[in-house]
Amino acid sequence: MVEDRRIREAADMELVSRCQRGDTQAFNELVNQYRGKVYAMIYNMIHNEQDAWDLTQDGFLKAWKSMGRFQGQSAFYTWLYRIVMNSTIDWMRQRKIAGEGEFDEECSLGQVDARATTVPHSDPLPFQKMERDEIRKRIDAAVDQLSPEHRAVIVMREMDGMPYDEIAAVLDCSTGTVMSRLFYARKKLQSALRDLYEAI
Amino acid sequence: MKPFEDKAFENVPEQDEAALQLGSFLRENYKAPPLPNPDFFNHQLMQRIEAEKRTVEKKPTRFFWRLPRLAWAGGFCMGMVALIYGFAVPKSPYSSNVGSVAEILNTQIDDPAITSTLFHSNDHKLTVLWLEGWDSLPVNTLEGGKPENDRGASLEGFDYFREETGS
Repeated sequence: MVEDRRIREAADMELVSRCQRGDTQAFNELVNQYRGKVYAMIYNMIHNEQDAWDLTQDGFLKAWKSMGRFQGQSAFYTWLYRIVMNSTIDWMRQRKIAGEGEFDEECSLGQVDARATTVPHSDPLPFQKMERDEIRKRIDAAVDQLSPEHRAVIVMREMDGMPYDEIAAVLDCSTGTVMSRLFYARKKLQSALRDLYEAI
Repeated sequence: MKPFEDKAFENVPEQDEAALQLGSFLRENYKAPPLPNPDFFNHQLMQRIEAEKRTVEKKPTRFFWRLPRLAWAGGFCMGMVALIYGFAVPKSPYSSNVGSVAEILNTQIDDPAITSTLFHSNDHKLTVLWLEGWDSLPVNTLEGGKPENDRGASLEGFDYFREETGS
């Protein structure tokens, strides 16, 4: 596992050094590798497909522009996540998405699983789909109660499984702050969703 | 934070079971949809990067046409002004005397039709009396004596006298 990570980081660094020489094909490879993860992370924070697409594009473009300043002191994906997370949190602040009771009605637009239309045989039964949509709505509403920083921590930890030190590096804060935010975010989500996950 | 510290934090009794339940529940039910049109995503991004590269390549050209050209234009203008000043503007025949230090002394004259001005330069040991209003200078005045018609200007006591017509 650790070995795989090292190999991946070394491969990333090779691509990064090519990018720093102006090789856009190398950057294309990095985009292929991380676009899905970055998009999922942003989508889980803002719950809107189009905005998540745009923010992912902007994040990669910023990464390309800043590539010359990347020194390799952290892994490439940590550095990329930092750029993307900062952009997303700034975007949420500009939209005044601050948590604590705000609910974005656009969230419902992104509920449908994109694979459902292209792979009909994997469609869930109608009642299963309704149930899944209902659960998703409940989770979205609960996550909307969190501030951008708390959302970022919960998404990176619970969805992406990132270790605390990497989350701290991405958010440019201490691991203590990460743990504190995670504790608070979990408490909030537990109180909002306990009935759901205990029933399941 | 080291891995065992991660686990220590996760295993705080308050969080232990509930945190694990919540985590697995979120991972199961909070999946983001895949990125739609991934190929178009790359295509659009590469187009934006190419546009960005073109902008960056143009910037040095713009810079060259701004500051350096302004500096060259300024220097050229100053050179032209210096040339025009040096060649086209005629020099005054008295310009060499401009630098000499002269002291204007007090003069008195009885005739109101005649004005006199007296200059004295210590550096050149020279005194100049400037008279205006006289039609002609009496001959014996040039020899150091008193004027014959005695119209009032006293010229005694000067070592050297020269009439400056000032034309």
